[in-house]
Amino acid sequence: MPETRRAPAPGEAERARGLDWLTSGVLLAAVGTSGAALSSILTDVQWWFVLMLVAAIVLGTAATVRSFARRRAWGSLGAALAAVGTLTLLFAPGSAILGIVPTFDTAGALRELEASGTASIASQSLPADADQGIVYLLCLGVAVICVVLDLFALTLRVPAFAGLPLVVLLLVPSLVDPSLNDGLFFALTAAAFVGLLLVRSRPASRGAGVGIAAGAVVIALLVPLGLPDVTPPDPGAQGSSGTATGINPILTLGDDLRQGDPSLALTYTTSEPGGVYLRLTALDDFSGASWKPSSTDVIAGNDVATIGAAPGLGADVPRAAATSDITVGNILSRWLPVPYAPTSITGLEGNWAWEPDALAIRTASSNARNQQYEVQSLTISPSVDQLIAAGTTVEPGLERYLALPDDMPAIVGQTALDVVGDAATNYDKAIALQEYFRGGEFTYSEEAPVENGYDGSGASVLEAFLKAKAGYCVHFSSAMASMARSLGIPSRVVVGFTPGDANTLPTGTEYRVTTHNLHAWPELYFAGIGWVRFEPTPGRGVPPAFAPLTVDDPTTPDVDESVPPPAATNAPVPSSTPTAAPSDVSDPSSTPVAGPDAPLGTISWWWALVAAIVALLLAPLVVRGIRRARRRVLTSRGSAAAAWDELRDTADDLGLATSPNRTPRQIALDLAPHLDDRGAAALARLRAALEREAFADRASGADAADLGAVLWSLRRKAGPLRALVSFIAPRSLVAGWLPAPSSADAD
Amino acid sequence: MSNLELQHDDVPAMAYDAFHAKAQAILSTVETVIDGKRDAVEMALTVLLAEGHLLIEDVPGVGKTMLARALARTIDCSVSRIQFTPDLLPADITGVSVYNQAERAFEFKPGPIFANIVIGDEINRASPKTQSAMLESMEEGQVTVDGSSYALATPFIVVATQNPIEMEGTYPLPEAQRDRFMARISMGYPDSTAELAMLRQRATSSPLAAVRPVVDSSELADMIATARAVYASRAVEQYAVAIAQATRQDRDLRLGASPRATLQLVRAAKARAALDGREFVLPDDIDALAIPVLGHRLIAARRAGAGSSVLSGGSVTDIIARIIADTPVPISASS
Repeated sequence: MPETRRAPAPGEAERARGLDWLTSGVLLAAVGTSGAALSSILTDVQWWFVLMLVAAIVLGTAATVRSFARRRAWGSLGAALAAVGTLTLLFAPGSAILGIVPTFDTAGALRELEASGTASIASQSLPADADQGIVYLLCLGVAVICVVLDLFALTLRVPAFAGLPLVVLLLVPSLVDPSLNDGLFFALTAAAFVGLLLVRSRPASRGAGVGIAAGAVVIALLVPLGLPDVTPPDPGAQGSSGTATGINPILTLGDDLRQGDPSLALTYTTSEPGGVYLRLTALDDFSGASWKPSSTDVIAGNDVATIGAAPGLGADVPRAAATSDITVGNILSRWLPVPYAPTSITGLEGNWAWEPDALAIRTASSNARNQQYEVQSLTISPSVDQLIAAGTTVEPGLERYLALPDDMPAIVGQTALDVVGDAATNYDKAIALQEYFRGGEFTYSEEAPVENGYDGSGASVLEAFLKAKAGYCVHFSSAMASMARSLGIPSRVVVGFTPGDANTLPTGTEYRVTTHNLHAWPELYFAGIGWVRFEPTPGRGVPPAFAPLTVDDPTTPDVDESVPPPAATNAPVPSSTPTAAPSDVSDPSSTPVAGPDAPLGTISWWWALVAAIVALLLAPLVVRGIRRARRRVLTSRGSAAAAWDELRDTADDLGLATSPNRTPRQIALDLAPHLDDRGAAALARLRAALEREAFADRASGADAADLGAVLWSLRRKAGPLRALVSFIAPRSLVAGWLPAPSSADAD
Repeated sequence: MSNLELQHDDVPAMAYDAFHAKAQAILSTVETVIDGKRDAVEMALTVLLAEGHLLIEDVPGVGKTMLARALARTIDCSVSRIQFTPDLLPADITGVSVYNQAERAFEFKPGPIFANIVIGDEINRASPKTQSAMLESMEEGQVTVDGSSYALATPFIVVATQNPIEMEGTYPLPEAQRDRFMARISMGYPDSTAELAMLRQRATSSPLAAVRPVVDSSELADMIATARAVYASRAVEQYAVAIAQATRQDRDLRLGASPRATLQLVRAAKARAALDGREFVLPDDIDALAIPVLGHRLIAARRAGAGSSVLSGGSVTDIIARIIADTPVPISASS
């Protein structure tokens, strides 16, 4: 009679199967919500459906296989095969047999996709377009995560661990940009995780399940706080830099400037004495919350070998040809740093195109990183009387350079009027504005009130800036450009680099430009002359020295500044200045050693993450080992209970059933099929010792050798693989939180 | 039940050896009459050695009465048998005072209940009045007639049988009275081998006639004392209490186990341990006895089992099994 209750109730297997399907469904929901968190860094939503398709196929295959197979591990195998097949079918069907069986060609095709995805991630800004490479990488990640989820939740039956891969997926946006964390998707994923624990838990352990989930939520919220920021790497070395990568590079400019140690952005030699300002792009659209480029399209056909004329440049404006050889370091940018106004660029890799208004050089798929190229440019040096002669004329077609947002604070226009006073021409007004900022009233500060979104170029920021009279180039340039617009002068903000530090090498003068040379400055448009650079930021850069009113000698060099103004001369200098060898730049010995506080590079950051995950994964092994050692000591002192605990935990680790609700005899019977004769005999002795110790009035000690024999026998019967898994991922550590496996499954 | 033969490695003292030998003798003797029903026979003997009353419930013809009679005949003690019928009166059980004209006084004529082993056949056929007379004497160990109390024999054990399906003309025992039985067992049908063997045996004579007593009443009293001396650890007691508590809190049960049930569960477990040759009780003893000892005392909530009658209690068995499976086994008294 008592035996009958151990037989599985009719329909129990059916119920367990239904539970497995439900678990797979919850896993799919969890992947869906955590994957949706990626929407903060990706445009569109199609990619999400592709991810869900992959996840559904992988999890569905696992569930289907598991519902037929006798062993749960087949489900994981099915999931892995389905992952490979699905990725092949979606991304490289042409190279595969029947579209799903991968061949060597498939591996190559997928590797190419992976490379393109990596490049795409490196070159794109937020939010990024989910192109095929990125979608492939996402699908790969999700497929792996689904296989791991299924492995944890259903094959190994440790659903609590399923939180780990989910958190990895959730953390991706935060890793890209710590300011991005979408609470909604996090909460939804946490809810799905709680659901998973509820599904896989028996009622008694539901409280514990909720406890774990709450703990996981807290940990997941705290962990990002402790993680280092993703910031550019070793100063001076050619580490990777997030500099000016974005659709709107101004967003990260403040961060780059504030960064403690500058990292080398690029080096160049130029025929222009004193170096050149290098422009990345112009921000001409101030209709919204902040300055941004009006167009980021890459115009096919605008080959950089011959770049169009500078807009508005009159025929009589003095100009001189200049040649610059630029070697870009490890900065990720879709814009190429070039001097104004470029006429031709050679030596670039990838497809680059020039943009006719800003003369920005942009790529859709390539990257400025590690490019080495030669730029032919025109140095435009209008004379002061030419600028004055431009008067207040605004040529047609430039209206958009006068647009201001509706919520522009009145103080901006009012200050502009006060500053320019009765200046008559646009040039006089511009000079008055520049002097207003540089006159000493304003101070340069990268740390000035950066809270409340002040770290930007928006309209409301301008008001705060004009009151605080402190800020950095973004504030100065956007303030001057905005005020110029309010005065009717077409203007835009340009983002780029100041000329950098000159190093005299035997081969010539090499300029080293670091992330601290990142800069923003206004360009104002003058009829018949075109765009002219101004420099309102005090202490930064050099205001353009326009030729004096009466002297129109373009060959007069301006030598009274420690850093010569870039537009000071148009004297042609031979462009034969040898380019610095790239090896010089990347030579680590020439770079300062990174201090302990130096931010980690992206690559080493990932290694740190991997190391952290590995440490996390090994932690159970260590904890379990300590516990095992302690119990062995207790057993050798004669404690049968300690021996029994260790035996039960080892059986748990191996996935065998040892419910605390079963008596020692029942557990011994359960384990008998998993033992050889010697182990069975040792187990009988161990059990007798335990029974006497626990239930008789006279105890008799346990034999540590018996314990060893039983454990060895259990592991040997389980097979090396299972023994290894039990060693690395001991279930017993979380046994209190997990539903006990039924003994029927253990065979 | 199979573990009865499993372990004899921990037999402690001679007392248990002798106990075990005698118990085995009783078992093998009874088994000559009841074929292939080792579990039922062992359970009956367990209850007997725990000095409890046994209720055997099953369909007619499976050997309920045969078991009771065989068990009684193996012990050399006074045995009486009462066939319960609707017209049976309390006096037919307890006895009556009759006027002795020679001595000019009332003289008590003891009824059949004055015996060491009383076999009550089809107990649920008697009227409630008669049933309660019987059951009260079972609890109190004495009979009161006309103001005088008469002590019953020791040991005093009632083995009652009842019929679960023949409900016509029966008075089901109220739960308060079922509670007086230590355990309820059912016989079940014999398997084909046992049934075949039975056909051979019964072809010539009744095997019951060949049964000879193997222990006398004083030996039985010794055995009962030995069984009572078995050690039940705090852990085991906690386990029994935990199960009893669980039955009281279970949503599927309308009536849980009484404290008397817990007491009898541990007492029966001691007898089982002694039968097994152990000087201490194991949680396995509690597990094995929970259904026979608790099954007839619990009442399932109406929703728990639509088809379960009060007597069969099929769903109650399931509920107890679930409770046992859900109750943690304390390995040490503290945990």
